[in-house]
This record gives sequence, structure tokens and C-alpha cells, in this order.
Amino acid sequence: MKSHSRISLVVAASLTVLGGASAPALADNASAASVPTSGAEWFRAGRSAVEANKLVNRELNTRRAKNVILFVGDGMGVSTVTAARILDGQQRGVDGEWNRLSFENFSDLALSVTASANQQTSDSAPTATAMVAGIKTNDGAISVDQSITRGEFCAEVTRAKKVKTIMERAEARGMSTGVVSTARITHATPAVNYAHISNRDWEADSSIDRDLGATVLPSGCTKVKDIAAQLVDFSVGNGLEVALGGGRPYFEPNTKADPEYPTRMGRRTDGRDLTAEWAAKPRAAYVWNKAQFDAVDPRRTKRLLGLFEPSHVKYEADRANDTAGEPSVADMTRKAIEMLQNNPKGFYLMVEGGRIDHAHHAGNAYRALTDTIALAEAVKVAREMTDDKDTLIIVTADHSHTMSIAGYPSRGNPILGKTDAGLDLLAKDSLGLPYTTLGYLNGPAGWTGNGSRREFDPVTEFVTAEIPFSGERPDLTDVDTTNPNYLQESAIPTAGAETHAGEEVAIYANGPRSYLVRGTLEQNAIYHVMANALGL
Amino acid sequence: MHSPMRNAAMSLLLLVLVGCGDQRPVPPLELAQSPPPVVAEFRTTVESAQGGKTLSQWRFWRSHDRIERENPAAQTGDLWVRDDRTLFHTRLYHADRRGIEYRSEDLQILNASPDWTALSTLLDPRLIGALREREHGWRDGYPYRRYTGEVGDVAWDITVRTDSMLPTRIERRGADRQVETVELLRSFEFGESPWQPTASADYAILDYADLGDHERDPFVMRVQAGEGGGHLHGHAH
Ligand SMILES: [Zn+2]
Repeated sequence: MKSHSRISLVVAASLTVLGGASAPALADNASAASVPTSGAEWFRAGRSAVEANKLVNRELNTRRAKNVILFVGDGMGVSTVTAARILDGQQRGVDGEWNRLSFENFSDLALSVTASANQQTSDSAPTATAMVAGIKTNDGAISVDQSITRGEFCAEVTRAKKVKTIMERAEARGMSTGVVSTARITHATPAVNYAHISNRDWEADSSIDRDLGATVLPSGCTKVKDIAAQLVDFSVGNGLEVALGGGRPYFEPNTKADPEYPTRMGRRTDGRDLTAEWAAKPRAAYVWNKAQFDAVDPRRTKRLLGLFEPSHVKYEADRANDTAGEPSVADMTRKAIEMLQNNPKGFYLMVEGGRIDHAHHAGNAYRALTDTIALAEAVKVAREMTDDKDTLIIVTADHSHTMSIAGYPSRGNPILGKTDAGLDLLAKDSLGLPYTTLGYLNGPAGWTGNGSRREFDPVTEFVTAEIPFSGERPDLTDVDTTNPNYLQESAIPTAGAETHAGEEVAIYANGPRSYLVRGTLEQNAIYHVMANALGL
Repeated sequence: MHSPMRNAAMSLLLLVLVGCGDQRPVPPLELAQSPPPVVAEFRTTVESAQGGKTLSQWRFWRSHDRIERENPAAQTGDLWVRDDRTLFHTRLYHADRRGIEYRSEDLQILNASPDWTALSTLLDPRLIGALREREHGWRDGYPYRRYTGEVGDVAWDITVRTDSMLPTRIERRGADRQVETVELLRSFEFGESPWQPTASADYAILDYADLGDHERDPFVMRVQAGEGGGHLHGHAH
């Protein structure tokens, strides 16, 4: 029996004695459905949460970890977690505010300061490097230190500036390793594990060549290897065992048509077919659709590369519409753990919910929240498949986004809806217009009355003039803001994308040495917690 | 032997038919049918109530699963590729040799829900369905149908060539008295036009989803600010 189940039983028993409602601190969200309805019940529930915390087995937590799983919700700031928790509860017909996502019941928590060596608000490359390599570095840097210039082409210089990652240390010790992402597997967050490069955009060799242009490398310098090639050529220990995500063309030559979308060609100009090279390794498999993925036997397969889309894997909300079918982040997490658990020396796995960030950039809260819920489901799967005694699970974000939860909506008001003012009335702004609870400080929908969206209309595209700034907010009275494609308004209009935000994000930890996650930590401390737990 | 004679007879017949075009039946406008490959050039005119006028000229290439258009003056273009159930749209910035690619779900989020028929014929079937056919006949040897009516505050006047399934004229008159017109200047059978789309196969194509993570990329910064190569979802003019 898994130890956390045992703890839950103890907690449940003690709560019965205390006569309180289920405690959010350790109970899972399924049992947290009953909301207190009186002052006395709220009081008992609060006290029960503290009683439950007293029962956390500190002794268990001081052990060494055999396995470490790092979940990164890209762009999953605190407001995203809150809104996702409410949406998840409301979708399941329970109280959203009382609901908890799987990882919110972890025993330990800290704040993570996400500023990078040269950025107040960071991009995903230095923040991910901080988490897996233990240092802060500059924008765009993939596991190289801040002394490198972004765009350094020289492999020798890059080698001198590289920092060892938790994956490399785990491999060197004989552990198994893997990386799972809903983004391209060559995207910044997964890439920091296995690659060292000065520019996160160099995912295929053609990208390096395009930037290199006619530049002649100085003598003694060879051209740095692109991120996709670094993944397949990764040779520390016996190389990584599992890589699941998107980004097929970065692995395939520009003469080869994509298997799912034949109009698309590979992006490699060096002639290498990295998927074929991977498949040629002993007991290795390469898959690109759900049926092939499902057919992989985790006991017989030693290495698995799965690339399910030409670019990022689909949003959870759109996954069912995929041409060839795609596994969910929970499916990929399950398969990865099944494979990695074959190694008695333990494993390190990173799982990224990479598209929370993308949906926020688009100003679409619905997909950001549903992808957050999907990541929470993957965490639940991981916890069920492992033992709290020997597996440290950390869930965090690399940075936040500008989404906020504003106004004074009533408890139970639809989180994607318009802010109510009680008595079936909508709250109004100073113009007399209703507004949504979720909104962005900046982003593509702007306060321009969603003008930019009309430009795509197949007819008006060719007909309309510049849509002038009305200077007024749109009237949302008859707009269904809970529609999955609704774009929340933003105070500052940008033509392309909403931006990251600079406040702290949370770190949730459970398992051996999780107590080291406390207080306000610099983001690079996450690496040191994992390394300490593994004794690396 | 007799084929030149037959050709002459055909020519004569054609002359007669062109001479009294309204005698011939005008094929119906069947937007549900796959339109024939074609290359065309259009002019968009926007006249505001204040008398201001803007013009743009743009080219259009249509084949079965690929639609491309280009505004040579603005050095921008759009490429639409249909791959089974998935639609890819790339906005091309020729001066930068860059592009931004949108997938079906990105377009849904942008509330674009592109319709292949509308993209390939430049006609929205729902709009045509909401208008009344005012006349049909033959003009310059081509069959046409003309639709007019008001939808909301907008008055439409649309003339369509039913053989090539292309509008020869779209006039849109808004409540603000702004008049927007799209006119077909010339069209060619596919492969017979004097111009080709600018080759973009080796452009650096950025996934729309990655736009937000390229905050220091000068091209993306210009796009974010709505400068350079027009707006992100800019217009044809
Ligand atoms: Zn981002």
C-alpha cells in the first residue's frame, strides 16, 4: 500500500474524532467536497487542517529520495492555480473555492523568486535552467551560465560555459531519466535537461545556419549542435530513456514529409533523420501517434521517443480533434514512469505542462486553466504510481502571467463568467458595463472592442479598413464569456501576445526532503532540493 | 481535315452566343463545390465619409489544398494550407523573410474559425445566403450572378463569376457611410499568370504560440507594437 494512502486514512480517522469537515491540507480534492455552512463548522475545519499537518510524517521526509519527479506548469502562476481549482470544482459540480488540485495537498510549500540573472520578469530558458542546473542565468540561455553571449555559435565556448544538470548527474549515477512535455520537446523548459546552448531558438540545425548566415567561425571553433541533435546524441550515463512531446520536424530532414500532415516537411538541413537514429538504438522505439504510443510495452522498451505534433502538442481542450490522436499529459506521465521504474537505481523525470503559457499569451484563460487541470491530473497519476517514502515530487511554475481574479464575485459565480453583484445582478464598471472576473493586464484582446478579431473574417478580411480604436470597453451583456474561445479583455493592448509576469510562483513538494521547500526561495534552490534529496 | 472547320463553326457559335449572352443559361453559384484552381489580382478601395481613400492591390493563388495571397506593395502575404482536418495559416512578412504560423485551434481562439469555402472563393456562403439575387447573365463572355441586400447595418452588393467562383466586385457600405470595394482586375488559369508567389519555403516560421516567448526578437517586437509589415492580422490594403 502506498504510504500517502495510509496517512490519508489516519487523517480521515482523526477528523472523524474531531468531527470536522475534510481537511484541505492532506485530503485529496475528491473528499474535500463539503463546504462548512456555519461559523462552528468553519472553525472546526480550520482546526482540522492544522491537526492534519501535525500528522505529517517528518521522519519519512528526512530519508533520501530514490526518485525525483519535477512538474513544471509553464506560466502557472498562483492566480492560475486558484482559477483552475475553481473551474475544476465547478466542472465537477462541487464547490470550486473549496476544491483543491491534486498537488495543492502536498505537505510542503514555498515561494519561488523567478527573476533571472538579467531579467526582472523572465522567459522560460533561464528559469528552467535555474530549476535543473542550480544557477541563475540570462534570457534565452539553455543550461549555460550568464557569462555567455546569447547567440554564441562556438561549440567550444559553449562547452566552457555549460552547467551540469540534474539529469546529467542522475545519468552519471546510473539512474534512468526522462522528459515529458506538451510543448515541443526541444522547447526551453524540457531542453535545459539535456542540452547546452546559448540560444533557446536553435531547436534545429537550420535555425542556427539561418542566424549564422555568412559569419565565418573563428579558428578553433566548431558550430554548436542544435537542441534536437543534442537530445538524440545525449550520452551521459547511458543516455536519457524517455522523451515525449511535440516537435517532429526539428528531428527530420527537410526532404521528408511529416507522417501526420504530409504537406509539411522536416526542418533539418544536415540530412540527419534523428527519429530513425533514435529508433536504431537497442530496444528503442519512436512513436508519433496515440495508437503507436499505447502499443509500447514499457517492460520491453528501453528507450522511447514520442513526437506527437509538428510543433507543440495540442491543448487539452483540442486534443480530441487531433488527426492522428495524441496521449494526454497524464498518459505520457504514466508511460514514462512505467518505463523509468524498471531501473532499481531510481529515476529523474521532468514533466512540463507547456501550453498553460501559450494559452495565457493568447489571452485565452479557458485553455490555460484546462491545461492546468490536465497537469494536476498527471501529478495525481504520478503520486498514485509512486511511494511517498522514496519519491520526491515537486510541482512549480517557471514564471507567472498577468491574469488576475478581480471584482467581488459571489462564491460559486462561474469563474469564466461575468462578475456578479449578488441578487442576479451584474457588477458594472464606471461606464455602466459588465466585466469578467478573469482579465489580463496586457494582451491581444485589448480594450479595443476585440477589433483585431474581425480582421480574420474571410469576407471582411479583404474589405474592412483599419478598425479604429473605439476607446471604449465592449459591452459584454450578451457575450458568453464562458465560451472556450473567449479572449479575456486586457488593460493594455498588444498586437501579438500577452506577457509573463514577475511575481513569485509557488513550489509544492511532497516526499523525501520536501521540508527543504519552505520560505521564499530563489528559483535555483529547486535544483539544490532535488540534488540533496537524491544525494547527488 | 475537318477539325479546322469544326473550330471555325465553334467560333461562330461562340460569337453568336456572346452576342446574345442572356439566351444561355447561367450556371448556378455552387459554393459547396470545389472551386477550380485560379490566379487573380484584386484591388481594394476604402472610401470614408470624409472623402479619404485608400487603395491596395493584391494577388491571389488558389489550388485544391493551398491558397496564397500577397500584397506586393506591403511585402506581406498569407498562406493557407489544408491538411486533412487541420488548417495551417501562415502570415508572411517578405521583407523580414519571416512568418507566423497559426493552427486551427489558434484561429479558433482568435475567433476566426476559417471556412475553406470562404477563403478559397472570397465569399462567405452565409452572407450570400442572406442576400437576394438581383440579376444574372453574361458579361465579357463570363457568367455572373449579382447579390444585394442588407445584413445588420451593412449594405452589400456582390457580383460573382460563377465559372471561376470568384467575386468580380464586392461593395460594402457601412452605417458610417464608409464604402469598401473589392474589384477583380484580372484572372488567369493556374500556372498561366505572369507572377508567382514570393518563395517562402526557407523563411524562419514562428509558431503563433511562441510569439510571447520572443520578447527580445526585433521582428516580434515590431509585430507586438503593430509596426513593420503591417498588423499581425493585417489587411490586404
Ligand atoms: Zn511564455
